[in-house]
Amino acid sequence: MAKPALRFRPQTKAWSPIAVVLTMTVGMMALVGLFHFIIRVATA
Amino acid sequence: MTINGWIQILVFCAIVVALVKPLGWYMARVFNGERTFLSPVLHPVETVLYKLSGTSEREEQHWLTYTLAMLTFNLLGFLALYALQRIQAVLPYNPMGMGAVALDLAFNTAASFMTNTNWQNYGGESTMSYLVQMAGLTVQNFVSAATGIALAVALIRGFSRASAKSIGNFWADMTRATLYVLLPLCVMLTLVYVARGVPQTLSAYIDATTLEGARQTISVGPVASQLAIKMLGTNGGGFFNANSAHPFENPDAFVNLIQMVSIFAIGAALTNVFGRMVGDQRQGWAILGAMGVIFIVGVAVAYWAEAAGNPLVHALGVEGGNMEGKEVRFGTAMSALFAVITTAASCGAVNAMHSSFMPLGGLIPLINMELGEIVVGGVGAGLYGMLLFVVLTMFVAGLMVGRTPEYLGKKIEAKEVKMAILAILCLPLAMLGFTALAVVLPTGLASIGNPGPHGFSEVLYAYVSGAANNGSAFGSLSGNTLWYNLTIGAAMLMGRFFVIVPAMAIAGSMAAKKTVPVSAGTFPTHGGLFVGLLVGVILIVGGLTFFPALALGPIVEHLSLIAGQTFSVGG
Amino acid sequence: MNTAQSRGGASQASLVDSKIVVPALGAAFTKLDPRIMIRNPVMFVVETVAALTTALFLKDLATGGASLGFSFQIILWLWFTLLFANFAEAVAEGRGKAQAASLRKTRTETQAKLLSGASGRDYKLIPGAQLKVGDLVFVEAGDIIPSDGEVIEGVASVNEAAITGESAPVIRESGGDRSAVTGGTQVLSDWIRVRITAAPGSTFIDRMIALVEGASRQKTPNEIALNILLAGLTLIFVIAVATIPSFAAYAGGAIPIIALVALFVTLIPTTIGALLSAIGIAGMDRLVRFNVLAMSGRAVEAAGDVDTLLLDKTGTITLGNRQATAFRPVRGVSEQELADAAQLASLADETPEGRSIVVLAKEKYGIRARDMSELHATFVPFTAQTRMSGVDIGGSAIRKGAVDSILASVNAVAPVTRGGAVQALRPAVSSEPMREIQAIADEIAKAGGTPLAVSRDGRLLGVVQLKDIVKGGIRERFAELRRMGIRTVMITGDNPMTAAAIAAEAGVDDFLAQATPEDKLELIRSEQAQGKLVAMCGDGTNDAPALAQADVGVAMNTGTVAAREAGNMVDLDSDPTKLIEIVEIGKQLLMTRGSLTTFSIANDVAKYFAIIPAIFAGIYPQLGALNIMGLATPESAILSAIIFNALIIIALIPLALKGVKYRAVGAGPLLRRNLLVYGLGGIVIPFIGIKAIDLAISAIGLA
Repeated sequence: MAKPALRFRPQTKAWSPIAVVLTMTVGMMALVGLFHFIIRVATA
Repeated sequence: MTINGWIQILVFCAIVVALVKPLGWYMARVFNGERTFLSPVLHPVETVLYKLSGTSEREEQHWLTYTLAMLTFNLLGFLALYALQRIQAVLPYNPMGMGAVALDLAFNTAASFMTNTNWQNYGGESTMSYLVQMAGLTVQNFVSAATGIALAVALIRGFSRASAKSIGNFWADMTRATLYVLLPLCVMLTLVYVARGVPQTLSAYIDATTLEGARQTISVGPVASQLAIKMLGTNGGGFFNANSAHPFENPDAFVNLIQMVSIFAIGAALTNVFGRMVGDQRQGWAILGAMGVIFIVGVAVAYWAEAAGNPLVHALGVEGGNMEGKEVRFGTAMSALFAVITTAASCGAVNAMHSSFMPLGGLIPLINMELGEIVVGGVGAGLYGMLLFVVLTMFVAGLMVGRTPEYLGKKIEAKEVKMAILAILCLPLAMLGFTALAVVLPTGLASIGNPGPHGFSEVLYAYVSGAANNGSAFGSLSGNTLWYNLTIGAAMLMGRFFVIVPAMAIAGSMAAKKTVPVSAGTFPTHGGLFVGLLVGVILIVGGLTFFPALALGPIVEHLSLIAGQTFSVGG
Repeated sequence: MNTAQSRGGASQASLVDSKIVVPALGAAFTKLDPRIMIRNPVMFVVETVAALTTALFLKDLATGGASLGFSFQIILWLWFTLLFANFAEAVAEGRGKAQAASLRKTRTETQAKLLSGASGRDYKLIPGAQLKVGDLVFVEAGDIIPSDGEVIEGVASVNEAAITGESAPVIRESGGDRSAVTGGTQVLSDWIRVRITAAPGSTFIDRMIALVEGASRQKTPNEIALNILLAGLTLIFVIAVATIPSFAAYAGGAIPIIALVALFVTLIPTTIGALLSAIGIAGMDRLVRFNVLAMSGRAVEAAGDVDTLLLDKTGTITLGNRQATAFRPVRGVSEQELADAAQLASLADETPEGRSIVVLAKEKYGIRARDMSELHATFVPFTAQTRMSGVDIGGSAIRKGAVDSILASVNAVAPVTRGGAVQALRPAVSSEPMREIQAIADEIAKAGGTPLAVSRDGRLLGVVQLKDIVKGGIRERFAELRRMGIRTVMITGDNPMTAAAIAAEAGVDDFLAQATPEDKLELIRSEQAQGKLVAMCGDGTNDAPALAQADVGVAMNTGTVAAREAGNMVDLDSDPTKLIEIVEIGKQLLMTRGSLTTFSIANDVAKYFAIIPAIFAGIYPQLGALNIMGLATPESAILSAIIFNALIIIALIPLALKGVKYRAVGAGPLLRRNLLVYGLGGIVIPFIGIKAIDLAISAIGLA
């Protein structure tokens, strides 16, 4: 038998879906910024 | 063709195959939420992101929620990139003072980078500010690739789970793909590129005086960092207009090899992730095997065509392969190989001009893309595209062994067939449909650079490349017109999302099914028979549709060429 | 079963039977009605295209267009394609209709003797069609049973040839597992009182008629999925063909619509589209010929998917009765003596076990049957209290029975018949043979047998070994099933030890011993929870829940009404081993669909090579290099392709009706074989066929 659906919880957090999308978009931009920063430090 | 050329091709294949297992092992751990050696550093970062956005890695989503999350995230990315281009003039990091990008071109570019296509109707060094390149284009390079990987993992979960309601959390999958897979590898690759002389700077372009005394502007910028993700994420959007043919973007044979390997690395390893997650690595190898068969045949044809050269040129007394549009430092073997790789995967970076390939050499990239780029394919996209064909193949094969068709113990029923056929249907619709319009409308015809069948191939290539989310171009078409910006943009969106949504529906319905145990009556899907059958179905169902169009493009061009006939303007 | 096969054999030949072919020719035309056609998406598209091109042709005819002769021929073949498809379906239905007609005869108006009360014999005659559920009717010798029902009183012999084709009468009686009667069958002797269980118009025979006629045919799940695939492929080719005119316009040419239509119709999967419903009808028909009635096509498909087969031991795996196989005396008693006693005790025993003891005694020790009255012997029958039977002969009493009851009786009898001296010795004398008997009995049970102890005048003689006889050839059948990937589970009421031994001998994969109906149901549920499909057969009311729970539940026709209602198939011959054939028929149905789909899709390769160079010949003569078949002219190439496309439908009708042969060789080899024949064959055959047709039509100057 396969494993049961692991840890399933519907998304019922107080945050709105839009907030998730916004945060994640900004978050990803920050990650890419971090990437450029690392490169900058490494190649300095 | 030379022995040396083939050795280089085989070395490339060997490296890719060698990377499949370690990379597959690592990614499988990442997407199963298990600890890896990078977790001590990256897990806190990940957790902060989830906390801030109010989601949790433990919070799993129904396939529809998953898909909606992906769609809204992509929509916002699209809007952000569009806005950045339109207002770049007033934003910082614009040392060359680039003006606002035109409306239609901005739409095309935003759609292009969001869909992992990276079709470029602009010259990077003459249109985009550093900020747009880094905060807009490079960010989309990362997240479109991460989106593809996340979707592939979600589909894999569909096959590996039984009686499950959920297929994972998009935010977690996407974040992990970026954080654990793309970022570390890109840091590594960037440093290698910088070490080999690829520029990485935020300063303005350099003015130089050449030996003849002429003044020249040398474009530089944060090239190495974008180069890394452009290859690894199968994006293909070059920093420079000449893409990987430009000496700053691809200085030598070593960097060329690394670029080729990094195009295939993640896509190939995802087949292993698939194998691991469904509990039988042979399943992954079988899929990679089917990809490999189509790939090797493609490479052989393209290399043969380019190495054999142009009979019309030979008639003038010039021996040797076709070197038009190729870089001497790569030669015919590596140019042909690069062309096949970049179109097999949905990369679209080029190190030679495909338009100048021999007709048959140019035919292979076209076929690769028309099949939907399932030969390794775009990161993630290749695997889920391939799995759609697997669903169809197993449906027919399953019937032939006298059982309700199943794959990995999951029954393939009306719903899955419907979704798979919908996804496969959208490619010829976008590719052939738009081409049919463009070659009869004056606005479409105006952009064509060459007369006769070659001109037809240019237009066909543009829409095929767009809908397959490849992004490579058949050089001589001037695409930056209202018509092409809008229609290629539409083709890119169709080719991406009309495949993704049905694929996710399949993931959802597969996850909900019970797993039927394997018996002697089950057709084994890890052997040569399966590989052969899959290749057959891909070529006949996916490929034959394009036969009329190919006949009027590269095939007739080839037949004319060997008959010594050329097509002059107006003839 | 023999009848079933001979019937099947007889009807196989009827493929060219004029009784079926002639009406089918007519039906091929009436089925052109678009309202019927729309059920088959691929053929509906062909019809639409054919109608449009016909209209265009008529317009051209009026205004005077070019190459009308060529267009006419193409259009003709388009309509032929449709007619051939309809013909295939009509032939498949025709075979069922012939059967339905003979069934209908049995349903002719019968008069029912409706009883006014639960007891008594007052009845009034009413037409059988007016009977309602719950009505009580009286049926006596010579009467036709007016409708389906359950015998509530009486016993009668019934001729069920009308539905089973088997003329030997069967017994139907109230209570027990033989209580169901079917409307249309005839009572031969005695009388019965029947409670009607079927509403008018939905009796067993009505359902059977609807089934074989295909009237109640609904698309099965796999058929629906396949139809979606075919419709999708059709759409893909719409795109592929619809874009050609503009590509051609770019190249500076124009392609006649009729040529595009020809390309389109040859590319879409017409072969499988045309034969799909015929395959489905023929599959049901094969079952009916096999005297199995499936209540839905879904059940037939499920049969092909079965993973686990539950089989009752008795009657399926073993012959119905145990047989004596050895005499095992205790020490001090000769085998001859034991055999003699056992034979005497069994002479008057009419049970199969008893008879088998007499037979064994004769075969092994030459002890002939003796006449009871000559011996002045009196038979002591088996009772529930004593749990033994035997014979009293010349003052001595021989008993045989279950080991524990014989042992108990020996303890009770010994002191009475023997004197005090013997009684003193008893512990020493009797405990030794007792232990020995126990040891032998255990040994027999372990080997899958049933021990039967024999005593004479309280003295233990030994044990008769009764054994379940596993049916000849059943082991091979199970091995075959294993190769198909099907697990067999034996269900028995025996104790686990005996069951294990028989299971090993018969070669089943697993067994369920001391099974109660609840155990059966539980087993089915647990198999299903693992995602497996389960088939079983049963006849008793006890079996009804399990039959209903199983994915394929085959009820025996001799069984109770409850069982028949619960199952999704009824075996008219009541032969449980048929489950195996049912599974094969299910697999065959799916295989035929898959193989013809593969064939149909593989055909496209050749068709492209025939038509693409032909339609582009005027624009780019260089593309003539793609004419690898060397077809005479562009017109002949297009015509040959469309003729091949139509004729292949006719050529494949026999295969569609007969089905692709199933071989129990495992999925891999089976697929390899079918791929070679239908995949590779599907690529190669049209190249040869189109070339041959091209040669023919060029020779007679059609194009």
